[in-house]
Amino acid sequence: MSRLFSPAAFAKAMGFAVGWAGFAVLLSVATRPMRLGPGFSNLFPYAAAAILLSGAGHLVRRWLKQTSFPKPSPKEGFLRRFGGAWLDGLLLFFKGTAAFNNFIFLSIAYLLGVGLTSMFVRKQGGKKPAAEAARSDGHPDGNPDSYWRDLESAKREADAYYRPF
Amino acid sequence: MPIIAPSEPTACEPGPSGPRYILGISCHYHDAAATLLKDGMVVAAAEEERFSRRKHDASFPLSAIRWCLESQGIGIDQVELAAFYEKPFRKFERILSQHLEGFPRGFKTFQMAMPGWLSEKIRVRSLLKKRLGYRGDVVYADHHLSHAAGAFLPSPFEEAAIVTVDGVGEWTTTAYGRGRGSSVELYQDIRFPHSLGLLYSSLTAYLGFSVNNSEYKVMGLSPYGRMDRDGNPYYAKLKRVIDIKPDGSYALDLSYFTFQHSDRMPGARLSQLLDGPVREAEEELLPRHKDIAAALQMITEDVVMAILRHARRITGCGNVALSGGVALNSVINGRILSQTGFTDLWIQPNAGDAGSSMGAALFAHCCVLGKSRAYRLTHAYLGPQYGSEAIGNFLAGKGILHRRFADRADLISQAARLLNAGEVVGWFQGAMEWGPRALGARSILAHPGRPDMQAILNEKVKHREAFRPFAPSVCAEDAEEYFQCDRAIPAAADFMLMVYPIRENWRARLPAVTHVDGTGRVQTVRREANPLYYDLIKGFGTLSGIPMLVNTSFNIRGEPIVCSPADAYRCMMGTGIDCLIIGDYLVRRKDNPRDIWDSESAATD
Ligand SMILES: [Fe+2]
Repeated sequence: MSRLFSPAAFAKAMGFAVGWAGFAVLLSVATRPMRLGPGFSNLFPYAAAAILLSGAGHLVRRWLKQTSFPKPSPKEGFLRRFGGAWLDGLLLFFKGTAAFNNFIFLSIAYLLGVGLTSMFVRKQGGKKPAAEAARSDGHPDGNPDSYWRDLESAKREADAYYRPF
Repeated sequence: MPIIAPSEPTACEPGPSGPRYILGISCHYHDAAATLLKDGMVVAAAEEERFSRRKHDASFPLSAIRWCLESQGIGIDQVELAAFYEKPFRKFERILSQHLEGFPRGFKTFQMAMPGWLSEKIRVRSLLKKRLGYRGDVVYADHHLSHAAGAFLPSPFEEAAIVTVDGVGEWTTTAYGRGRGSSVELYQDIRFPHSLGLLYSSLTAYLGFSVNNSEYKVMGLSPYGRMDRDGNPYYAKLKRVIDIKPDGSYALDLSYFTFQHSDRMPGARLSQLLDGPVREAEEELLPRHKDIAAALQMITEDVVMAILRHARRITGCGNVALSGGVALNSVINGRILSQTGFTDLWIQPNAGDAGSSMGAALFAHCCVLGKSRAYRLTHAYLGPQYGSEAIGNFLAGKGILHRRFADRADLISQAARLLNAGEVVGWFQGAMEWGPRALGARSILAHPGRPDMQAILNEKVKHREAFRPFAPSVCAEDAEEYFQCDRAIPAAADFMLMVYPIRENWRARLPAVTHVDGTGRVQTVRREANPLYYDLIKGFGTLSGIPMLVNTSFNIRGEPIVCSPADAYRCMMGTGIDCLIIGDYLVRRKDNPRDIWDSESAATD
């Protein structure tokens, strides 16, 4: 029997289901002002959207090689182990949605922030920052016999070290 | 379990209201670590991985910091200054500019890197406040200044040239300068994306080994290839990838690489140049792979030697202190004094990024606060240690069958007898080592003269590639008998950072520690640094006729070196280590069959 039924797996599934249901309700509330979807009368489309979001997020996590290190599970006490597994399940659901949200926001930031700046710099014909720091096409300081660049770290004031830049 | 601090050096210059503590921290890229200074003396230092049990753990070193503070019986409010090992904004600037240049190819790496940067990496100060409740000042030393300070300030030198070579810090990848008294100065640098460390890592990835983890395997593989600049075709091929000037400065041809904008390191052009695709981890190592490893080792050596000769010329110093990941290339280190004109060399036992927590702390003490330099690192035993009572309580508490040695002499004679009988011994004594090498505090020891010992160790414990030999520990005054080493042998050999040829007449008698090219990565042991280990080697020598031991790190494959008695016991029971000598106690694996498990089934790496 114990081989067929694992309380930890059940608790984890419960946690996941609670996360899923909670997020579906949250979606229905959040989209209400926009009149997206059928509203509270039919939660099914929201539940479908929620699981799609979480699933997509987990695919993103896999693509980005984001792994979670397994936490040592508490050894004593059935309730503590059950509660820990329940929480793991809940987190499993929300890690997916969080990863999906991050992916969307970071994609926008990348396309608009990095992309537009990069295109602007290229259009202006300006030097690219990394190339400026270490020119791959030539030699710093105009010396063709060396790639060394002067640092002169000793000229800095002590105050400069209290700054993170 | 109560933990005792490492033996405390003599403090100097206490502050007006008691001792001054400085906390050095390195994290968020390679191995995270913490170092605690008390009135300028290092009193505790440890890597986070030893506590979290995640190899190369780069996360904020909360456990290591907590242990550092506990070891001195202080709270975070008694820390006067925190020192971080790099300037996070400058590093972030570099990462952003990489993305600007690489757009749109860096989409994936942007997704991978940004959450970590935006959530905590850039906000070190608030991270210290949030995780530790620390509200004091924070000093941010540049990445390579931390390396340089970590190389020079704990060294025995009053004046020395400093050379730091690693993957990349903020922008700098390679630098040299000079240390004198309590000052550290870097004169010149080479900047990202031109990086010898990243070249080495790219080729490590090409050869199918894991980056930032297995570079030393490439070094170990190299003697199996043709170590001949004219006869090895890959030497000429790799020369196309890097332009090396006579002064040691260099530039990479970036068309061969993708690390600037991708999570994969070698580019398609590199694979084309090297006559084949990237090797998969489980694929057989072909002669071509061995030749590539050899060519890479030769090119790295060309660059490092040229940089060192240049630094010698510019600084006029006779001594040199090395730091950065490349300083862990012990094959190169063994040749420095004979090829560069320097007369002495020092490398701290933790020359990579973890060691920069010590560098940053010492830099803050000497160069920012302007205090005098009093600390000299003479041994690497700076981590947690466990007293006899704590170990006894652990063994009794877990119901582990053990026996207690009558006294120190009994411990040494029994240990020597077991080793001479060919047993593999887990050796857990005193404070844990600082740095990636086991140096006789958390070591697995064995007989170096038994022809089958390398196979036994590989089969029972380490399960590592057959091409990598094990390292020997020898008492410092005996080293010349067995090795063709520099005279005098640099202190860096105490930290297992030098490879020297084994004398020809000994090679056949030391099969477990002799590499295919007749060399060995020797650890010299001084009685004043580790008297118990020193006496054990001597005791073993009396029985076996060879005062030398195989010394390999005490860990399960893919896990960090053990830290606590529980880690050590678990490691012994999960591997084929025959017995564990832990403090005053002997624990035999076969006496505790109920705890036997198979670590190999769970091993990674
Ligand atoms: Fe570094």
